Amino acid sequence: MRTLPWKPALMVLALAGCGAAPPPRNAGDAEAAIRSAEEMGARQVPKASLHLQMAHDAYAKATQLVKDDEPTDARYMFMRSEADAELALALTREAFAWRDLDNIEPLPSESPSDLPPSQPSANQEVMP
Amino acid sequence: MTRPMTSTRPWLGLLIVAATAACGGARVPAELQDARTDYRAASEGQAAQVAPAELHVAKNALDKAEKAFKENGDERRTRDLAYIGHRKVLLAQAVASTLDARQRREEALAAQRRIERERLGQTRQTLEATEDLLAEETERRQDAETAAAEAMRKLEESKAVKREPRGVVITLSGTVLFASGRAEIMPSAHDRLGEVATAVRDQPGRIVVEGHTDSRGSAESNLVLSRLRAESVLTALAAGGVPRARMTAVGYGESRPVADNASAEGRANNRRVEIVIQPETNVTSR
Repeated sequence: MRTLPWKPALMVLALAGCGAAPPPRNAGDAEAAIRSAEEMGARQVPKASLHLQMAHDAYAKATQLVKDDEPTDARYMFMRSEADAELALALTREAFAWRDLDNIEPLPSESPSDLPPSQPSANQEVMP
Repeated sequence: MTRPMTSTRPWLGLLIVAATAACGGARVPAELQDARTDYRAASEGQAAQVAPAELHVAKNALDKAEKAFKENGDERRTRDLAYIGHRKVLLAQAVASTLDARQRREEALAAQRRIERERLGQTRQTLEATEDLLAEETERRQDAETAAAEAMRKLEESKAVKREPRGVVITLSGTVLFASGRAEIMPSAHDRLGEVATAVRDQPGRIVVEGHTDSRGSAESNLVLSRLRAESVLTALAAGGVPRARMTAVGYGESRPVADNASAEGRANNRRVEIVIQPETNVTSR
């Protein structure tokens, strides 16, 4: 079960204070997805980092749409943000999985045919 | 100057009209095009096998986008849903790739464990074989030492062994070994020489086989005979297992008597072969 993130909660209070409509419920989902991707290390993976940034940008646009009293557009923008954040998380896991494969130390004087070949991946690169 | 399209390709214009009519006249947004293309690739790739649940979610998201496009055309909502659908497709592909990498890693680790087990088994077998060889060698060595000690004891009992500054000297009577005037070892003497070989083959140090004669006959012929007899004994010892490289044969003729040549008994004592086992220190000091 997800707990309500503090940021959307603050947003609710702030917007309620100035008489605007409350943010869509899925704002919390987007926030949680962004946090998960960041905690997993999405910023270390170039492709994941790109989608994480897209998630942040969409989240900022959605927040602005809430302020502009465009709740439907805001809801869809939060959905975009969440989709990009979830993709960033998946790309991070993928990059780490290939890195773990490449990090297997070969046995001394081992025949290469003893191990299955690793497959190059576009997401394989992990920044130090 | 551009040619009128209708004059050269009338069918192309009709096709465009038909296609536009088919989808309500709206242009397919780029988000939806991308989502369709990547979904097709994903559904034909490994995602269909290893990440069917994620691909199903992507398909549902894409269906919503297609429905919005069909009902509303290229509107913001359509683009939003297509964008989200496209991300779901990419996510399914990433999940499939992740599972592929993990599967390969498991296989690689399993292969390594198998190789390590095989190597361990081979090492254990080699060790066991080495231990068996060592045990056999130890047993053989002990048997050889026992046989050598026994042979040496017999020689010492027969008063044939003397310990002198030049080394351990085993004296064999020429009368026992050779017929008069001959250098071939008599068949009856082979057992005796076999015992000597057993006694000396594992002794450290060089072995000098010395031939001696009595004073009858010419000194020159005695010298030759003594050398030939020493070489015959050396050959017999080599046949009994004493390394030939450790041995030297020398003939002294009548020059080193141990008894008076005037009596028959003295001459018999002088006709002899002496096997000298030199101490290792003497060898290295040479």
